Parts: sequence; C-alpha cells; structure tokens
Amino acid sequence: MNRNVYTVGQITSYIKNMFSQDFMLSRISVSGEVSNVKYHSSGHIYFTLKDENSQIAVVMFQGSRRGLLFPMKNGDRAIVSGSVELYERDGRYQLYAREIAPDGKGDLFKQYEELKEALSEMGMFAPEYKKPLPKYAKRIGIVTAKTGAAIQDIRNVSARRNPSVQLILCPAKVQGEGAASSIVRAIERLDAMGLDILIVGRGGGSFEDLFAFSEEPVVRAVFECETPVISAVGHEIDTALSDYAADQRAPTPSAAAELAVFDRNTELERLEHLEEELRRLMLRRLASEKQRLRSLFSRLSSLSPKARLRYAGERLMREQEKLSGAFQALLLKRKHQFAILAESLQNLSPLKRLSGGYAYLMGADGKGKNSIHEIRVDETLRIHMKDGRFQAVVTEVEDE
Amino acid sequence: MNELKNRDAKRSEKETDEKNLEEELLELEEIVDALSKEELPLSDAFRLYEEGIQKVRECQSTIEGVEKKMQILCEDGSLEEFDDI
Repeated sequence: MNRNVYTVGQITSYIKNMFSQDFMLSRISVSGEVSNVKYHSSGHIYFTLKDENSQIAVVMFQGSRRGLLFPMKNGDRAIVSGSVELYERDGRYQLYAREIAPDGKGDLFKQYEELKEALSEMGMFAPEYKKPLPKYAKRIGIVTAKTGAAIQDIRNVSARRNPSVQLILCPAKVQGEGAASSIVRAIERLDAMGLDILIVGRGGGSFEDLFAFSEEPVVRAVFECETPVISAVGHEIDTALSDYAADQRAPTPSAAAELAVFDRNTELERLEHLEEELRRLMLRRLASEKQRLRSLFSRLSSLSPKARLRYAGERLMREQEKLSGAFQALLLKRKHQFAILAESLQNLSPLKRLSGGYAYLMGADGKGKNSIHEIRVDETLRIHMKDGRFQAVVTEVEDE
Repeated sequence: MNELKNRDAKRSEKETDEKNLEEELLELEEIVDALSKEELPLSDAFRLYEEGIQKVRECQSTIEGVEKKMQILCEDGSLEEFDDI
C-alpha cells in the first residue's frame, strides 16, 4: 500500500489554491438575505448571506467599506460582489465582499436616494418648517400597526412616564401592498382630531419592510400634518424619509414616547419645589415685616404725647433749676453791692464826722444850722456830739 | 368629513388647554421671582403668595389628571378602548 499522508496545512493550502485559480470564484456576485450582521469596531463587517437552502459567510474589510451602498442590516436582500476564498485558519470558505448593493424590488434604494434629493430640494426637510413639540401633551395620536412591538413599547413608556396622557391609536398597515396609503390616511384622520402630538412609525425590519415610510405620499402627509409629528421608524441606524420631514425624529418608537410624554413625577417635583419657594419667600417677607414693625413701634413710642410730656417736664425742671440758680447768684451779688453801699453810707453819716471832737447844731425846731446868720442871740441850740447832746443858749453872735 | 368639520373647534380648545399648563408654570415662576423682591408692598406680596399657591394646586391637579386607557380610532370615527395585551 502506497499511501500519501498530508498535513492539515498542506491540504488546506491545496484547496485554497484551487479556489484562487477558479476564474468564476475570483469575480462573482451573489444575491441573498442578510443575517447575523456584525459591524466590528475595527471597521470590518461580518455577516451571512442566505436563501431557503444554503448560506455563505461574508466579510467586508474596512478598506472596502466604500463599497457598502446602503445601511445594510439583517433581513435586507443584498447583492454581494467579490471573491470566494478559503480562510485557512478555520478551513472555511468565505465571500470577500468588495461591493454590497441592495437587491430591492425595482431598486428601492435608488428610489429612496432620488426621492430624498427631490423632496429636500422642495424644502420639505428644511428646519424652518419644523414645529416645536408641546411640552405638556395630553393627547397623543399614534400611527402604527395594531399588533407588534412598536405600539406596546409606546404604551409601556407612556404608562411609566405619565399614565394620565391619552394615547389614541389609528392602526395602519406598515408594510407591503397598500401600506403607504394606509399610513397617509391614518395621519390625516388623527391630524383632524386636533391632538397635541402624533407619533408615526414602526419597529425594526428590513430596508424593504421600512420602505413605506420613505414613500412620497407618506413623507408629504408627515410634512403637511398640522399636529407636530415625531417619526420613529425601525432602529437607531434606520432612516426613513419620514424622519427628515417630521418635526422631530426619534431613533425608536420607545424613544418617541419618551419625547412625547412628559414625565409626571418630574413636573410634580418641580411644582413642589415652587411651592416650597413660595412659602419660604413669604415667611422671609413676614419676618422682615415683623422686624420693621418692631423698629417702627419703638420709634413711635418715643414720639408719643406721654413721652413728650415727660420730656417737657424734664426740660422744665432743668430750666427751673437754672433760673433759681441765676436768681440766687443775682441775690448774692445784690447783697454784696448793698454791703458795699451800706459801708460807704456809713462813712458819709454826719455822726461819723463828729468823732474828731466836732459837734452838730440844730435849732429848737430840730433843723440843722448851716450859717451864722441863722443864729440869733438868746436862742436855745441843741448840740450833738459823738457821744451825746446838750442844749446851750447863744450869748453873742459874731460875724466874720 | 365630520372629523374635518370639528377640526378648528378642537384645535383652539386644545391650544387654550395647552397654554394653560405651560403658561401657568411660567407665571408661577414669575410670581416666585416677584415675591423675592423686598420692595414689593406687603399687600401685593400676600396677593401674589395666594395666587401662587392656587396656581400650584391647579397645576398639580392638571398634571395628576386621571389615568387614561389607550384608545383606538375605529373606521367609523368612534373611539374605543384598546386593550389586547
């Protein structure tokens, strides 16, 4: 027996060589449904392309990313062009993609791009037409499928944030034949009700599944809707044209409910805070008024008639004291003056003069004699001396 | 058609409703601002305080509201409770 035994490496590189020499496999386009898409952080994309019976692993390296012509995700139908080669480490063949194009009916993706450009040129996506969402919406209309995750997500978020907000669903067919006109009609019916906000959207799906929200009648209806519209189509990475025309885009239906439904507790807390603030300010004001009142009262009582009377009485007493003091001083001064005068008067008294042996003459009538001519012979005269008096009779009068 | 006819009436009703809460809250903030000014006469302060507390109560009852069940707009234009969980 002549048996050749090969290593795994040898057989693997032999097979790899077979693949690379195959003319068809080195330049091939494969169509199928996309699944298990992984956008790796390195920029490489890994996914599986499958149909009813088979599947093939696909990788698109970061360097070929420009060849990805649409936001591909699970469920999309795509045409992948590249080469089929063997990946030696895993002993697996893979399709190495250079270009990935959507495989839509009638090339939906191209239609999407063309419509986007046309509507954008018409100004339908212009920011100046965007209406602000009312902050405290009480009634919110929803256009989506009656069954499915979207309506349940919206209902759950709304119930958590604010159970007193009224949600009104107008069910619409969101994919397949007639979906666009069903969505348009639902938008128009809810718009006519004069609600506060409309949420228009659906849960995730393939590009084709979501395409109804990119059809012109739907985009127009969203644009023309007088009620502010939040568009919430698919997941974060999906962008339907209704997203551009809406007043606000939400990445998912749940996120749309977060935007539309105000949080009741937050607002109640804010009110509580405002109430506390009102009370605090009023109490502060009252305290300051009380203080003011106290100071006014003390000023007022110092101005009362009673206080004034007391003050006047005190002043009167002071003046009285001053007056009596002045009077006493005056009296003293006068006494002193009197003493001086009395002294000088004393000195002027005729009796004082008699002290030197002089005498004072008076007639019998008590009048003083000032001249010899007033004296007659035989007249009795009274003569006062310092220490007594006597009478004498004039015997002779002699003129000088 | 009936829906379209009611539209204007409903819209203006909605707008006054809407204004109420948003404006009341704004006014409430203005009242708080005004009340924080010392030079405000005391009688005005009392009036503002009472007005403010009243507004707080009104806003609270507006916000608290009544729990609402989701409704579905039927083909004939009527509203029915939607409860199919």
